[in-house]
Amino acid sequence: MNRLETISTLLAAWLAVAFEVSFNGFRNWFGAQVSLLPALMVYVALSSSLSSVALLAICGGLMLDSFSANPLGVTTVALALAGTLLHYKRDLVLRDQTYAQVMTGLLASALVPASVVLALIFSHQPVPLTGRLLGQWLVMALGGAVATPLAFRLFAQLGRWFSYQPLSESQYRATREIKRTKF
Amino acid sequence: MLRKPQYIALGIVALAGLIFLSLPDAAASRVKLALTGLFLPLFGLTESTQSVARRAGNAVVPRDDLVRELEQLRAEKQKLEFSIAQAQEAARENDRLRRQAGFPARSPWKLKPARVIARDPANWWRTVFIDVGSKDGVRVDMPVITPEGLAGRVSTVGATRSQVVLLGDQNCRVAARVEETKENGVVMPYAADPAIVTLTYLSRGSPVKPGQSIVTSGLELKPGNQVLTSGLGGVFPAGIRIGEIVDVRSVGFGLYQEARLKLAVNLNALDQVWVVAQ
Repeated sequence: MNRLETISTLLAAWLAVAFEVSFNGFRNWFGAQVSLLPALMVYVALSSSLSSVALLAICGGLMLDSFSANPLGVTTVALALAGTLLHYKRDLVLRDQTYAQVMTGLLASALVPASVVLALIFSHQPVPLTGRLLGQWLVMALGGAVATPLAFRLFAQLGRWFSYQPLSESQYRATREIKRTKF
Repeated sequence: MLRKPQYIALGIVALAGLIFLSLPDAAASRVKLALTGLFLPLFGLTESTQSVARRAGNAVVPRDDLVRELEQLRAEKQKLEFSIAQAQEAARENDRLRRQAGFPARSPWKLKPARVIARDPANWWRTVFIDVGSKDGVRVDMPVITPEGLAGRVSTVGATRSQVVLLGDQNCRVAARVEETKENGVVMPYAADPAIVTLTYLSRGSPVKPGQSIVTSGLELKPGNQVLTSGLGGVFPAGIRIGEIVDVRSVGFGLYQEARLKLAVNLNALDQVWVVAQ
């Protein structure tokens, strides 16, 4: 991942958090807010280094927790956990397949809130485990599963806009041309 | 396998997580408020865009509609002026009687208008950020209300922003009173529905049988009864509307009663609120 990609990932994390704190549509329609950071983490974990995973986990997690009543840093640890797991197994994931993107997005989007809730249960601010929370968890997992292929497409498009594209090689080479003469 | 730089990256994350998780509450709140400052340009942009859209929408409203609305507002203003005159007279009388009875005078509320700028992204908490802070005289534990009723209380205060914990959150419990029966209880969260809270620790009624009305302190506790803040505890002033009773049941092996309340304020649609400086 080059510097441009790192900056664009952090910018995407900033926008994702801004979207989550200011857009109420999902809350009103489905009763739960969908988190976009796990989807972003899937993209970074499958296509970048562990340093980028760490950077996204720290910046994204802290930004998200700053607007929340969660203890500061708990989302950082959850995102880092999901990112590290995916990064460690990235050779086994067909990252260009939409199906694989959806499934890894589902896994990460289920794992991150589950880890946060698990951490909160053992903290001084326990969250009551209810049927409503389970429903919200499912909405978050499904929302993240849908968002992950979109994140891959967004970054692929950005790559096409801002990176040098390889020139398509022609089969014709002037040096290999057979010069026709009299004989 | 993980290489050395990767171990370093993981170590940095673990260390950062540990440091932030072990911060004292006050320091963590300050860091959180500082981090929300990163989003101020975006909130400013959103506000400007909404303002432009509102002005564009106003520009296309037909003049007839505006004139009709103006007439309605004038009539309403006249009615309100009469009501205010009556209320002021009642307040003066109340003050006079309180003085005669030797009660301390009630100080009037100072209302500070605020706009909701962000919501808690975590689904298990119910907090919002408002655009007023310590520079505007906002302090921790000040009640936050809307014209419909109580919304919550201020939990964290920054210079220009504050966090409000809403009714129905684990960290917002309110001493309340049923208006009709004067029964006191505590408003607690109700996990299954965000528009409902529980009013608990109501005094014990007679055993509930099918078809029998529940009796508390000799007065019936019925669905539709209004619930207001009681003023006990000193955080919320008395008389702010919280909601109305939906149903009542006996709990704790009949030791006390619990009522479910429908909140007066739609907390999902909060936009403009008022902070009460008592």
